[in-house]
Amino acid sequence: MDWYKDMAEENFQPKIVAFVCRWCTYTGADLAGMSRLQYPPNTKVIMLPCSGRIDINFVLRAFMQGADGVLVSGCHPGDCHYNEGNYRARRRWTLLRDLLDTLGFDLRRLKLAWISAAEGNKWAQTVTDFTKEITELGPYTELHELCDCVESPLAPEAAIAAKMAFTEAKPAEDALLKTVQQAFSEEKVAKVLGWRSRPTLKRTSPDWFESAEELKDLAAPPAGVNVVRLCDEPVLANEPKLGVIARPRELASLNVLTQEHALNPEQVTVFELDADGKYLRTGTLRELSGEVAQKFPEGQVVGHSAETMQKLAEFMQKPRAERFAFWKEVSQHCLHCYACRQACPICHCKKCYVDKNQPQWFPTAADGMGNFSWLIVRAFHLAGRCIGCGACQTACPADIPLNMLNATLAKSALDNFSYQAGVNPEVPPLQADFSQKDQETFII
Amino acid sequence: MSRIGVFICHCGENIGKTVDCARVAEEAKSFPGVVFARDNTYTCSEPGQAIIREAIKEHGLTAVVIGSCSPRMHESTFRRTCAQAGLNPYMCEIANLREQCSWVHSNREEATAKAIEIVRSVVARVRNNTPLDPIRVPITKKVMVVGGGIAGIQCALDLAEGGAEVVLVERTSSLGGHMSQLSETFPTLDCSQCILTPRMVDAASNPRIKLEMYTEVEKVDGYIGNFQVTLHRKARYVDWNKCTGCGACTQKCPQKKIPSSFDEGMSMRTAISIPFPQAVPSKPTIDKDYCMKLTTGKCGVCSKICKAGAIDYEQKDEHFTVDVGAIVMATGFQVMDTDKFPYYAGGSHPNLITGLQFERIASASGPTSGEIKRPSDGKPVKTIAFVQCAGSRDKANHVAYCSKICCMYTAKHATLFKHKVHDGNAWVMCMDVRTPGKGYDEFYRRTIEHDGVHYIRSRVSRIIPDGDDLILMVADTLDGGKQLQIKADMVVLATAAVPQPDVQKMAQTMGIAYDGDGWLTEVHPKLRPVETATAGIFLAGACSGPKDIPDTVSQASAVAAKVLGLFAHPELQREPTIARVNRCAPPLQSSCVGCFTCESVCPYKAIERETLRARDGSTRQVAKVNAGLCQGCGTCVATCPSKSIELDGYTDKQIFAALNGLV
Repeated sequence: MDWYKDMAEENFQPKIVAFVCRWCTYTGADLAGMSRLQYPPNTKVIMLPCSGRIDINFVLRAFMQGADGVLVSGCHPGDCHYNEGNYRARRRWTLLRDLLDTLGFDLRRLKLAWISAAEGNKWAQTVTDFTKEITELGPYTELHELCDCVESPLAPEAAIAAKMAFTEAKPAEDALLKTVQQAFSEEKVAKVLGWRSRPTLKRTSPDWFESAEELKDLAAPPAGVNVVRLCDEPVLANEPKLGVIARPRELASLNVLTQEHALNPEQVTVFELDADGKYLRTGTLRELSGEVAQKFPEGQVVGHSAETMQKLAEFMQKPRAERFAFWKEVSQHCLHCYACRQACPICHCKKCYVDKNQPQWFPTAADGMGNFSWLIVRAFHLAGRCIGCGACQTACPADIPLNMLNATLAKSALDNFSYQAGVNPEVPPLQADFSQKDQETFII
Repeated sequence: MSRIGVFICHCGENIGKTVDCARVAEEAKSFPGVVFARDNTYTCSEPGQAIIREAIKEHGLTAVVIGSCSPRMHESTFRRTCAQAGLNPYMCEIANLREQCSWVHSNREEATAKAIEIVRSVVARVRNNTPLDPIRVPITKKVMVVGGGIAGIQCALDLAEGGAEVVLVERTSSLGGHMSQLSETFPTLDCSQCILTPRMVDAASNPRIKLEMYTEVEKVDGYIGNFQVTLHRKARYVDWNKCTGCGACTQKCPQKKIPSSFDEGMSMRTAISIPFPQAVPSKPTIDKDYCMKLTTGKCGVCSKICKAGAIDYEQKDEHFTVDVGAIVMATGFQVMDTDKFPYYAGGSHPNLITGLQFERIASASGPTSGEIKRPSDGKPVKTIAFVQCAGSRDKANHVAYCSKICCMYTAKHATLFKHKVHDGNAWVMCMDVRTPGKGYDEFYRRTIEHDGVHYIRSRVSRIIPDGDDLILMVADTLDGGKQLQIKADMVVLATAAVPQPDVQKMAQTMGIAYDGDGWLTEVHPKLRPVETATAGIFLAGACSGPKDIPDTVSQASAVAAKVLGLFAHPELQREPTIARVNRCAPPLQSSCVGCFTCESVCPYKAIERETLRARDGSTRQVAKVNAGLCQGCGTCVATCPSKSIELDGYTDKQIFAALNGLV
């Protein structure tokens, strides 16, 4: 795996891939040809119907396979052949860029441009300028070198030991216990999601309670985790009489799941607790779903703690190369155990696309490239969906600071689109929506 | 196993001069799956195409890559060639070696290297292509025209003439729309009703046109060729099948003090009424908000007087669906009310009227029988003032656009006034006078030069009531904003034309777009002015923006041509490059989890819900793409969190393969 080293030779010819829409940019590139405008031959085009079709994974994939720069281009806002594909693309690229920025990715290598069918000149100029920029930057050795991290050392032992520390389960509060018992006896609920104490394991874990008798094992919710974990559950959208014991973090998760039609909020009874686990009230999810944002301490973006946000802000002060080095270092401990996925309250797909191999979306090996890809893909998958409970980071045996990536996207959603995940189940999900006023300072 | 044939075209010297085509073909032979490769001077020529056809047969090719000009140029040509040789056309892909290689590079070595990479990428892509069949959709050869104004009438008549079955839906009880309210029409000054009413009668008596009067569109489902429209027929309380239209009921109805909307509130009508004497159909309806029988239970005069026994107080609203293949929106416009202008006499002075109200006053069938009398006291008007651009071109207060029709109708109003009141004074306060159109500017010149109407380029800041009279505070914009005061017996505001207030709601149910002002949006303002982004739904007349009668009628006929063109096909054939939700083995059946993010993302409302039933009897909902509606943009594919949607022709596998070929 040292092909990229040859590229550092004197006569470096950058590899650039352009993903373009067929109606504007591809036609614009054809126009450049018809006008016989000359530009460097390094850029090769992949045509798609619309910039809305351009998956962020295509771009990541291009970089992983050795591209030194990627150009993404579509119709100008308002000109989309499909009316709004480019608006949606724009939102996607805003989020991705912010995420990549935190990861210390060299954003100069990802260029976005609106090029119309009439702008043959702009196409030729953009390609010429971009080729020059990338040539000056040199090969993207930094990223390509990740492929060399074949051995991935385990996380420091102390970190793992801390993760494995057992804590005694605390029994559930009486008030809560009685309310849930009553709900069972009145047949308001058929099964309730809560924390079950496992005395032999000296810990608690989320589980369904299907009768009042089982409630003797009901435990108080532990910190840093989320009771909602649906990826191994059957689809619950049609199931009547569900109950969930929910703190604000769980309530926010349930709102996201409502948005994504994974639950029917009329059919879910929520036994609401405050952030510390003290019982407050009972009602349907529909009734209790509002005002979630106010249930979190001030200064938080939903569940993303002020502390994480502060840490993120400090981290962003560091030079880009240092940020990249940091993530390269911490991500090498990743085991691809997917505990983060399993612990996530928002993951409810029955087959994760990471596990699909037709096509293979990204390398699943626990090597540098596979691990770094997982960092990006996991976080982006939750863009506008993650409610910041931190269950992923708690679950991670390699102690990777996943919260910081989640917080990056939460901040990006809030700053750019005034959107907070989990606070309003009535609105469309962040990436399913757009505004013509979304900002686009990074698109030429 | 793929057996791919690669054909590299020199395009004369266009490609061959900069790209070493023979070398590209030679290199292509080594790409996985390629069993045949050659170069050729003109691949698109008949002999060139024959080579492809022969190679497909001789080498049993399963896919073809042609390195030539842009796919925008000859993709369809080469796909047809492949189809002639029995190969599925979607197994043919183009590598763009001309517009994006030979024409933009001059270094032969570099250009050849790039060409090789492009061909390698396309070969890798085509290995993952799957044969696709065009989507065939049946067409219901019936069209619904929504709106019974001049646009709807003209369109329905043209469609019926062309042999189409037409359902003409109108929400009032008569055809005619705004045109039936007009007195005379510019620039020829022919009487509006004289030219319109024969068409109304033609539409009503045409055996291919079914009128659905007093009926509104409630919901639209389906897609081009196959719409299901739910209609809501409001209760008329009169059985129109029995009614003879004698009008006796309207004479005797005791409830007589209801402002007539046809006369823009300047005359009164009865609770059971026919909107205007020339109405088609000439059948009355009972206004349930005013009828004493329906509101208090006491009266029943009309029922007693009706010899035909047509009065039916028990009639109920009806909801029913109609299957149609195309829909024409001809829903027209409204004019802004005077109450939007508080700075003009508080917006509510009786002698401050809209242009449409002036039409009624000037009309021989109007409340004053065509005499120019003012509403407050019926005094003949001697001095009249017209204020143009009331609301139009006024972004700060109202709308930014030009309402287009006002300059001409104001000139017409002023002319009509001068023709009726020879010693009268007509003042027009205009911003700019815009009169493009056949005979329009001549008409406007005549208004000034022959009829002696005074035009002042100005803005009117205030109108102050002075008893029944009105004083206009005018700033002459050609004279440094000099202040003038003009006292008038009556003031006509050329208020802005605005969209029908409820058309946006209807547009949402149909999935058609409207602009920030609320006008329905055409696909392309110049090249596709009567089509909407939803295939099969068309726009005629002022629903897409203010239009005069000639433009409206031209559009209506244009739509008829479009619809008849659509109906000329036995069935619709559509490009099969559309999205598809995946299916897999049980128990999952599909990796779709039913989050329906795709539903919010789709601009064409093409995502439907389908229930999957597992063996154990449990069910779950997943997304399904309506092949009739999907236009193949692929935004859903990139947004789908579980990667459960594919776009045929641009599948993830194909794109990844193409990428593999490049880097």
